[in-house]
Amino acid sequence: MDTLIWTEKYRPREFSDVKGQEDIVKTIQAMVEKQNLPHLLFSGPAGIGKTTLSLVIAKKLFGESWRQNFLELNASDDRGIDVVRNTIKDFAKTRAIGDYPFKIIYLDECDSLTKEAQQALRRTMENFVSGTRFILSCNYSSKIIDAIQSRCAVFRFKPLEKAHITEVIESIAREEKLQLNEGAKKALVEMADGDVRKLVNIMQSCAALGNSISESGVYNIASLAEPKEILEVLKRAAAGDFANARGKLLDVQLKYGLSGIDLIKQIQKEVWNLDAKDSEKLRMIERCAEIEFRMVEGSDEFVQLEALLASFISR
Amino acid sequence: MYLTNNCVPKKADEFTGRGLELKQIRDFVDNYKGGAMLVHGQTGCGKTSFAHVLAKELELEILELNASDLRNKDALLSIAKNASLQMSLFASGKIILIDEIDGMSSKDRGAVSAITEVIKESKWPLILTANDLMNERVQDLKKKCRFVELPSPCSDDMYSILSNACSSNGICYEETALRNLARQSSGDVRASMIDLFVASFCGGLKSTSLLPDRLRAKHIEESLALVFNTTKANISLSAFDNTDKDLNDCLMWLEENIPKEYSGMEMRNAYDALSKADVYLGRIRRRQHWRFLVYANAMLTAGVSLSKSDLHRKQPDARYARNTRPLKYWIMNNRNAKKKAIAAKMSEKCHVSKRKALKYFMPYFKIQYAGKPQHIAKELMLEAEQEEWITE
Repeated sequence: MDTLIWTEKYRPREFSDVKGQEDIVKTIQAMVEKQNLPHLLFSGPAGIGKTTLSLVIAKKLFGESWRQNFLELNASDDRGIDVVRNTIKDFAKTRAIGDYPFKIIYLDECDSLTKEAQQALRRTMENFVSGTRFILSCNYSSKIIDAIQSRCAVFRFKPLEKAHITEVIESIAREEKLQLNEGAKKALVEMADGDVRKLVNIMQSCAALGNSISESGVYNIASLAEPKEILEVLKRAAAGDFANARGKLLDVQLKYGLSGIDLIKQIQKEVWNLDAKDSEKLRMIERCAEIEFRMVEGSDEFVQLEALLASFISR
Repeated sequence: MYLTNNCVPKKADEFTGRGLELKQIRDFVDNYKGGAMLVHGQTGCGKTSFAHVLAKELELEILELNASDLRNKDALLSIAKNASLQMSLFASGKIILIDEIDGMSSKDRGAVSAITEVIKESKWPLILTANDLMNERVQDLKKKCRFVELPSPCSDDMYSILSNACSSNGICYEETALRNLARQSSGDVRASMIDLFVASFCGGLKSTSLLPDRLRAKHIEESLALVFNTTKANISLSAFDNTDKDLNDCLMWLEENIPKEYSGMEMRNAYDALSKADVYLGRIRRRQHWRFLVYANAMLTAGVSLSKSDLHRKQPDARYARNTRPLKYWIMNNRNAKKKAIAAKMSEKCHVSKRKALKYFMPYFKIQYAGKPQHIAKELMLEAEQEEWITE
């Protein structure tokens, strides 16, 4: 299949291409070859191969007809109990197409499934176990209720090491005829931060601007996705310039289309980068916690953020 | 004697203190060259009266359509438009007065476009009146009219108007009482006349304590000033009771204007009160538990007032501004709709949720697209307007 989106183009198609998770891959490959699979729970940070491995499993098991026997859902778009009760059940009820013992339901971002939906899922997993296997994927397995964890074989994906990321960089560079020096490579590794999806996206963006990739080019592109302005907002607030700080914060929200929760997550990270006493920073973190809590209960997220900024001003 | 009718001004010089604006209207009628004049101003400042006086002095016939008439498209066209084209039967000319255009109801469908049509073709001067120029029904008409604001008489002018009315109707009064009446009239001549009329039955205006309490919707600015300039809860608590805004709106006004009055620790406390009020409002919205409204109100009024320890104003001449954040969000949402549509296509293609597509793919998308625009557009089956977003 030809695609121009690199994350798809360079998505591994064979077990042996999946990098950095050797033990997990070996075990799963053995199970797939015997066509015998329990429910699986994949946990680990973003961009390290959870979806990829699931797709490889489907393609190896079902060959050409993988699309008919593989239902892909992600909990953040298809959230809630209705999906579990309808979409999932409807798919699970029918037999696999072709001569296969079961179908697979891949449920991505399970940590954002509501607890109710998770409860609804546990019975479904058992009732349809004869004809359906679930692969659940999440960032934090602690967010998954015990009842579901106990029904799955749990695999914890390791963050990718530098060497693996470098391998990916080099093989894509070879394929796309890109020139990059050691500095650029180092920058890519740093910016990717163990996330291959991010890495490949940054590389494709750099390549769109020219075949030769420079260190500064990588930093420029990478900064697109990360609002750097948040630190600036905090600095202004700390300097007592409230009007400017909140204006800038609103600009950031509008420019990146971020929710209040997204913003407070960023603020909470950046507080530690401020030039202030540690005890002061800890006090700010406490305020973040209180405000994030109020945000969940309140109605206007920005009002809460303003209260947070105002509390950073006076010491 | 019914005082209001008796005391409706009969001559232009009875409109004390409003000469300049009235001259503009007179000139417009006198040298009519097409178009319409939109006269706006507070209730009882003399908009309608003056149109009638003007017609009388210039010996013109006057056709008045007000909110008591059905004013949908058909009605307006058949009455106003015909009148605007026909000659006058009894006088040398006429004035067409469409009164209270901000009082158009939802039944008056098509009224604005009908009025626009009348304006375009009218042979006779057209006068429109409105209280509130910000009213949404008035917005489209505003562009098609010249407008003039008729100010309400100040309390000195009001005093002389009232004392004239008293002497010509033989009502006795005490000067301080009449001055008080003039002051609390907030420029509403009609209402003051009625108050005077009532007083005439009690043997004249001897003290203002007999006067009825005329509560008007307070401007939000007044309420803000009240909250910001007191440290007493009992004064502050009722500050928003008489505005025409709901508490969510009041919160937005406070949010925008707190930095104008507070700084440092005081500002922190004020925003903390706002933040708590917002939590209560959120609970009301989610659980429909309206009891929390008292608590939200308490935080927004007393909470903000008591954040201040002394009463000096940060900027004595600060003017309160409307909050522009909702407008900015609206613009952003419109702009983001296309981005979200592309992210949805990306999400199918790349085995990620829409949320992740927005977060991990869209920041880079414009640049990647620059590499091979046609191919990527084709692969994602982008629509023309989505491609437009990319090249913006």
